[in-house]
Amino acid sequence: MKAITKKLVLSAGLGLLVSLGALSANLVYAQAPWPFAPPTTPMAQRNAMNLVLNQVNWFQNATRTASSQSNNGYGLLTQQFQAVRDQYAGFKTTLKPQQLSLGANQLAELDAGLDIIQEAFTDYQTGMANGQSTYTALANMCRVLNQAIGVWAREFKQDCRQLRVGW
Amino acid sequence: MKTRSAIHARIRSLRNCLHWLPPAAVVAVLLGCASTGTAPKAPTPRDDFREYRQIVVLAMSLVDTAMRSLDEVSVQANRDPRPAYAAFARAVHRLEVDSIKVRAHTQAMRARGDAYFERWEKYLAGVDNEQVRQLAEQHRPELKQSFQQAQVASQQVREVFRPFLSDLQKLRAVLEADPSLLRVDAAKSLMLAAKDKGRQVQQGLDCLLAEMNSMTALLRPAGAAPRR
Repeated sequence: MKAITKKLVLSAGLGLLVSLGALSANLVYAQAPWPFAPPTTPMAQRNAMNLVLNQVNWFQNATRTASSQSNNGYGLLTQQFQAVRDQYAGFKTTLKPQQLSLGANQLAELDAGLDIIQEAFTDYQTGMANGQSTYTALANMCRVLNQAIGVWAREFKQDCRQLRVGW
Repeated sequence: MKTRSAIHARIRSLRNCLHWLPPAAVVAVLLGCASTGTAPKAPTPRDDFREYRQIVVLAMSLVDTAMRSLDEVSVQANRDPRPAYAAFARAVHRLEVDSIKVRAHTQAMRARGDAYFERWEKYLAGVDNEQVRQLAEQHRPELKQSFQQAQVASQQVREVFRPFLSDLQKLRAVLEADPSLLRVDAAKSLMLAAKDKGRQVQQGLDCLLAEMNSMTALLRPAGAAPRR
């Protein structure tokens, strides 16, 4: 009799454990769905904005050193430019619906600005095809990219101020 | 003995008072957080309309400079062509960099279509000047029409700008090593093509500016001096 009671208690306890486990798994899933929605807090916005600006600085540094590394220079610049694009895409996910709506024109212009800056890579290829030396074509591209991303970053900062990013 | 008990009683009463301190501090902190001084402010809408006009004017000056410097290269080819070439290369570089804003605006205008204008309308509906608000409401159809014409002109600018810049870059590459009369003569057809495209860009920018000016005129309150 005692053994039967013990078995019953054990199986009930086990059942309780299993159901609790399943319930907690459901709870965990409900709390943190995948993919994670990025936070839109002022802190998250400020961090994302600073990441974009830091990446712009890295890219500008790369434009200063790339002309001396003729072989790797182009690849390095494309990588760094793609990183700017990625950080900017991440930044946009931290904006609130009101900021996205009010700044829709500005964001579209920033998107277009990056597309236009990217054309400098095509110009480099065209320059080479037109008989320009690798060194000159790369130097031209570096100068254009350095200043163009500077113009873009100024617009980005101004738009962030207007949209109260991180406030 | 009496004094001691009095002191104990005072300490007890003081402790009772101190019990209120932590909740009071929490309330004070919360009140401080809710003050208007640190409350997040709403985003300010951008004066798209005025900014775009300024960008168009800047782009016109850039294109004009590039066209003049191209003329100067052919004029100076039989004398000392180097300074003229250097000025031309500088103008092309400035065009590559400083035209980004106008190109980005025209591209965004095309990508967003009517939604781009709706943002302008919303901005105008919220400006402080009541007269401007009323004028914007009153001239809504004319403003919309001007915007549509500006869109067409910006499309023209967008389509011709890239080939124009590409021609200028080609010329810069061709003449870089030797901008002599012989080379300039050999690149004559490319120069003419670049100038033709440049004129089309100028026409497109002229149309854009005309539309922006007519929009400005529609929104100018009676008696207000025209803004330069």
